[in-house]
Amino acid sequence: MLEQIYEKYYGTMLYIAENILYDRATAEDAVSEAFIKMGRHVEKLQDASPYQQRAYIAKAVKTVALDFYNKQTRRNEIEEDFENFSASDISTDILWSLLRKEGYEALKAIVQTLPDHMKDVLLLHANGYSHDEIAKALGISVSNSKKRLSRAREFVKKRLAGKHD
Amino acid sequence: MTERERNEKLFDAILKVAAEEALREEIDAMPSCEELNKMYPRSKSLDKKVYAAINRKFGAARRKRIARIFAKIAACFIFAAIGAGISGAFFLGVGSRAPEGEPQTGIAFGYIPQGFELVAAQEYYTFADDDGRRFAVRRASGDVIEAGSDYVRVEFRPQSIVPDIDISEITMEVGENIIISSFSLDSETLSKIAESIK
Repeated sequence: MLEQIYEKYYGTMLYIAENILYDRATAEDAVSEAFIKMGRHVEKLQDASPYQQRAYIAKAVKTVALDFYNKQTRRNEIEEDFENFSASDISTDILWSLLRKEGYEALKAIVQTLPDHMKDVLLLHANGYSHDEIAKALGISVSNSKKRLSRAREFVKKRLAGKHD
Repeated sequence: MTERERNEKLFDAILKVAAEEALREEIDAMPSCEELNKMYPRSKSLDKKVYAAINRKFGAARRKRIARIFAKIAACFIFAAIGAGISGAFFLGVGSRAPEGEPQTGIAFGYIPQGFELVAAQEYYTFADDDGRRFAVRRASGDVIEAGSDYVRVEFRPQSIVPDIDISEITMEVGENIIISSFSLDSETLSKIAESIK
């Protein structure tokens, strides 16, 4: 299965890694590292749709490539600050607006503006991946994955509320 | 259910649909897998890195499994008919041909018998010494042996390519679809090589 995944997606993985790293040799290192990070979860992909497979692999290699890039440029890792996190309610008015085309398109646009570390978790979770699988793909803990998902939801709610005012 | 709970459930449902579509759009924005495979062709260095990573990740489990396998070896002797034209196809000896289309292996060995060097690394890893003795290793595709199965199957096949010469080929299938074959080495040596695979 691992070899099948590799043979199908090596171009995709190199495309993503090289677009971040701009160096073929380092991109190859990122691709091989992604296989280690994904581990046995890759074998579960055989039941996933092609979109789900590609998305999972793309996110995993993107995360590894960004780690490599951050190490190269000595950037600090994203600090996970959940201390000021507070859940907010979503109003019925906003919900009704999401059921109309304009409101729904606005929601999709907000999802696209999510910071990557939240967006990747939200997109993978919405497409059927467990927090355990997401954690493996992104190289984070399961609890971090859950927290990022909660933060993503709150981010979207706050942006929607801001637009609605 | 309170109104708040209902609103949260509805919001989550709509957000899920939006996120599914957002991911689909992201994936659709990329060229297709086939196009990217052409634009970013594989290289030997990439294959080597990826297969080494795969083997490193799963090698520890494999070593334990091989140790159990050789502790309770179950040998199976199969004698194919002489001249039946079943080559066994490990291209050892005169006139034999390697099967086509086998993927390049990325197998790391801990033990290679003295005097043997790698002479070919296309569809198989082929090792030979100065006396012309050879053994070949490949990773089998499909369903030759179940992944993770707990036995070694050993086959002895008469050489059917040159029917007048009585040469037996030992084929050893180990764990996860790795096959080691030789006309020249004994099963004990092949076992040692198989056990050393990382």
